[in-house]
Amino acid sequence: MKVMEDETTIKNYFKLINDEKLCAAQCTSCNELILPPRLFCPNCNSKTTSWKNLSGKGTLRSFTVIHIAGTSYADDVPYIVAIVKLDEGPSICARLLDIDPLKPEEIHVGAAVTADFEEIRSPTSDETMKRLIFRPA
Amino acid sequence: MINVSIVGAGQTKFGRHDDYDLRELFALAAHEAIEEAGLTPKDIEAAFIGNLSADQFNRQTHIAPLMADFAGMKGIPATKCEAACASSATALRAAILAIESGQHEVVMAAGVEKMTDLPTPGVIETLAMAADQIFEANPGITFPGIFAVLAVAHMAKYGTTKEQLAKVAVKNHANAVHNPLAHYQKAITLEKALTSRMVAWPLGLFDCSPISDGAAAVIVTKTKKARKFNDTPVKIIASAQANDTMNLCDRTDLTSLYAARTAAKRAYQQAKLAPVDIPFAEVHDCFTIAEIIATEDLGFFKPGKGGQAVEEGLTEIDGQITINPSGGLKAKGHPVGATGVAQIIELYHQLRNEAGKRQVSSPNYGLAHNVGGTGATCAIHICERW
Repeated sequence: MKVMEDETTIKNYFKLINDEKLCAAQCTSCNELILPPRLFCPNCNSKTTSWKNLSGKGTLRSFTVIHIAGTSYADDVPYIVAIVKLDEGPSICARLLDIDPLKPEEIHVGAAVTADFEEIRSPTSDETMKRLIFRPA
Repeated sequence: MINVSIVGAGQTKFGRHDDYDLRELFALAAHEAIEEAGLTPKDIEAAFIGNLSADQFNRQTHIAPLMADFAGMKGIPATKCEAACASSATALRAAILAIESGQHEVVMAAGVEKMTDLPTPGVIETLAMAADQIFEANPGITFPGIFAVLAVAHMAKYGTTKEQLAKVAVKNHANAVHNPLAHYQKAITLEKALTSRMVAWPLGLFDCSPISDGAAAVIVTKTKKARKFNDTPVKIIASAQANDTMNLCDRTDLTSLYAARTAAKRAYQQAKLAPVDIPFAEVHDCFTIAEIIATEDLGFFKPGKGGQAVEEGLTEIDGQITINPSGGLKAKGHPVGATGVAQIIELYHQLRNEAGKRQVSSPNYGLAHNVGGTGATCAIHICERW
């Protein structure tokens, strides 16, 4: 089955991330912003969704500092993972950089953060790819 | 109201089992349950078996017929139920529905997991698969990390403290001292709990349930036939389940589990009971914060008051509402697929007044709250003494 370039698939979402664009799926029936993206609107079940560019500005809903990671990220510890509420409404889970992970007491729920992108090695090939991260605003 | 009762229960010790295979752990628990019901394996008409991930832990799929065969139950319908850490509560629910539908009369609900075959980083990676792989695990969140996120949100909103989290661990370890099947039969001090190695801030090692092996099985049948098999059966009067979004990002509240609140509401309605009628509960304390949130979601304490309740001792064996007399997942151990049925077994023993030094004073009812993954599944059962 051929997927349209603008269809709000997960694959297309990550293509946009690779182009340093943070987008949410937007329901064209009820305007709901959907992130992580879905093919069907969780609000009205409509399939007609399109992409909407997000500002990347948001606030910290919560976070943790991972000290013991799974096999894939064992070399990265300690690192911060945050749940960020974007100003447009939806939330997304991503790493939070430029903050000392050993001083978590200095991080506050509600703090302003901004989206950015960093280059990482693809887990499935030798190529590099971009991933979404956040930094303090 | 459900008309199903428990007539047999069997459980292996939880802990590290280097000398028994997955199928052997299952066979030990299954045989004990069958014998207690005065039956032989050939009398079991169907089996529902909870298991999270024998494929990852033991490189074994299609485990239900393998387990059934090694427990002497070749030929019957044997089905694996998977709902992450709530796998065996959903197995029990399937067994109850099989009886209620009239298809079967004598059914086994069980659970088994052998986690220690994998080194710890592999276990952590496997457990993280019970979160959203693409949008949670790939950015690097671990299973303890998910519950740490809930803890940070709970602390920020309600002022819950690390000391209150640690008190959950201290209480559950104290209860497990009197549980011979517990992974850790050892009391710990508040100081030890507070200074343990960091896993996912603010959760330290003693905020986490251990990596365990074990199996648990119960035999259930129609309540009106239960006395044929057992002098003192235990009635199951509610079986409820609900789901929620997998990804925390899609939830409006990070301080409570919607699936737990929803399943609890349904369970109380089925049983025609209110939270105040429940004298004790086995709740899903995979992490200390999870017990505090559970006591709020189940209506035992108001939202935000669970931390204070454990600090004041209200959830101890002789407290206002006893929480996790078995030692909970924290100290009894958490072989994930076996946990839901093991909680039911604690209800069975408590409601038969045979729990020894951890016995709650003559309870009429008990509640079991089994959470799958990050709260995307919750299954709740309420039992009543005969």
